[in-house]
Amino acid sequence: MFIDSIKSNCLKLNGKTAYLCGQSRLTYGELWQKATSLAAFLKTGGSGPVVVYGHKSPDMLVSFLACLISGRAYVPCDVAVPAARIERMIAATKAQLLLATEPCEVKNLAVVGSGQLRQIYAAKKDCPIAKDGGRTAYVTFTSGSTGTPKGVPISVDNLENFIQWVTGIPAVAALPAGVVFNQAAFSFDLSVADIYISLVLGHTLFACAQHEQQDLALLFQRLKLSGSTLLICTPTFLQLCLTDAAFSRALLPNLQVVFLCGEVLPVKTAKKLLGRFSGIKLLNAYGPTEATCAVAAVQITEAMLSRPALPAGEIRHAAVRISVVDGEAELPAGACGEIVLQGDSVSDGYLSGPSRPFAGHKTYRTGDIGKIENGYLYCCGRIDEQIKYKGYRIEPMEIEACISEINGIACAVVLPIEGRDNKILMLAAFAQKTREITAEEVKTQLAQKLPPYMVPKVILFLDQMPMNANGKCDKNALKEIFSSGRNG
Amino acid sequence: MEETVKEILLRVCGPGALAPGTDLIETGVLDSLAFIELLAELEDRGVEIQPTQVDRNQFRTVNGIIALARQYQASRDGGV
Repeated sequence: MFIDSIKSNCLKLNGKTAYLCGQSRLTYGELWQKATSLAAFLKTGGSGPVVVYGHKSPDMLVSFLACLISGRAYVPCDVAVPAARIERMIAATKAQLLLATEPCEVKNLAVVGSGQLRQIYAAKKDCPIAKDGGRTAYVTFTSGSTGTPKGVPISVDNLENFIQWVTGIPAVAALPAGVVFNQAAFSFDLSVADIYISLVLGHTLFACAQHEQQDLALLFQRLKLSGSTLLICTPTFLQLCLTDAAFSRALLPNLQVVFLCGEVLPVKTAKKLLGRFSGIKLLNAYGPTEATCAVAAVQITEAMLSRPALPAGEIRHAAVRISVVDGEAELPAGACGEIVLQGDSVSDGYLSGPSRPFAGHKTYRTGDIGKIENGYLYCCGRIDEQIKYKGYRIEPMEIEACISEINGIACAVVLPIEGRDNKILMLAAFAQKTREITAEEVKTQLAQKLPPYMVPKVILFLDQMPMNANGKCDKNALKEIFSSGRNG
Repeated sequence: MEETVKEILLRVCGPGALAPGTDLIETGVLDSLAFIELLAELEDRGVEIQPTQVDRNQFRTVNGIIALARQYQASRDGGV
């Protein structure tokens, strides 16, 4: 099992750096010693899921591993998540313990702060690795159309299947001992790829904090310092790096593989990367949270760059069985339909709420529209209103529900505003108000309930919602209202 | 160039882009998505700003961005 592989790496690589972020450093030896001490504490101190709160402190990684060893599920929660949403996550998971690696406002459950964590580590206890593979490894949350985020439990067996698959991708398996660059927050399940590739293959995980990603000059310093061999990020992050010609071999001489997931990869972005980095292997991956991070990947070749869209995975070497269906009927190659995943990476279902997309044992209907051509998977959109923004899946209805709860708002419609290559540039909300309230007040109230990426950048107030002939909200009219506002 | 930059900013940042006195970075008006889009639009017009080569504060204001665009346009036209 992968936890045994991590243990053997920790004992074998002992003094090697397992994790780096800013000035903080953790060796493999320290990781195992701290994780087992914390696991022993978790095992004796109750049961049920554990919320792990913070950003990129080494204590986050220690806590994840400790939970896995002890047999308790971890619920990663980034500092960017507002307290009200954390409380909903706690209610949904029924967690009774929160490990606060950074100061945390949340109450109503037992909180272990960083001072207490130090004491627990110092106890130097051992803890056997829990055996049951069916237990939940972690729970991450994805947007829910009813207004409540949906908890997705991923079992140890799901995670095992993902890790076996991802570390078996030839480009990843061929990497010599090196450095994995982490971009994603730990509450974003893209980070599952960088954490476990790094620990299972015995690399060093170089984590990049949010504030280091907001200033390009600082980010480039960090990239240079990292000496990364494998970069795992969203296509948007890669685009940001590529805005500057300095993002090149001179900055990252050892970079061998870039693993992208979470969003559509535009052809232009792939072309730019391959042009800047000779000999680089670019992996474009696809997969929903419900099927453990990613289920398919494909190495982008020069020949693929002349086509209008890039493939998102190779069917034959996927982590699960991938098919494209229309209703219940499986479609032939080349036909567009809903992408369905079946196999050991698929979660058993949401913590609560609709089980609809989980169609029977280990089967998940993604809601993504796609097609299979020449053995490659192509994504072409959604069957519903769900959108991908900054790598996150968002149900506009969840945001609309939150806006409508605000005193003074009668109703609201949230729309994605697209820029080049149909990429979503921002979210805009159109609202009808019943009293004087400003856009800033609405945003402030939303920020108390929603993570930053779900707060619309623009709030426009309308006297009346435009209706189409069927009496439904006319979204095209709203987009026109938005662009007329944009053009002056 | 001034009108071009303003037109691009309105499109990529939304209606708040040209409000006087706005710090585009602090307020998140020029977030990473808008930033990528702004540079791509300017690149299409032959203006290739290298963000790590300039003072980040230049991106805080509309006038700062206009000045940058002019500077890069001039260096291109001057054949430097």
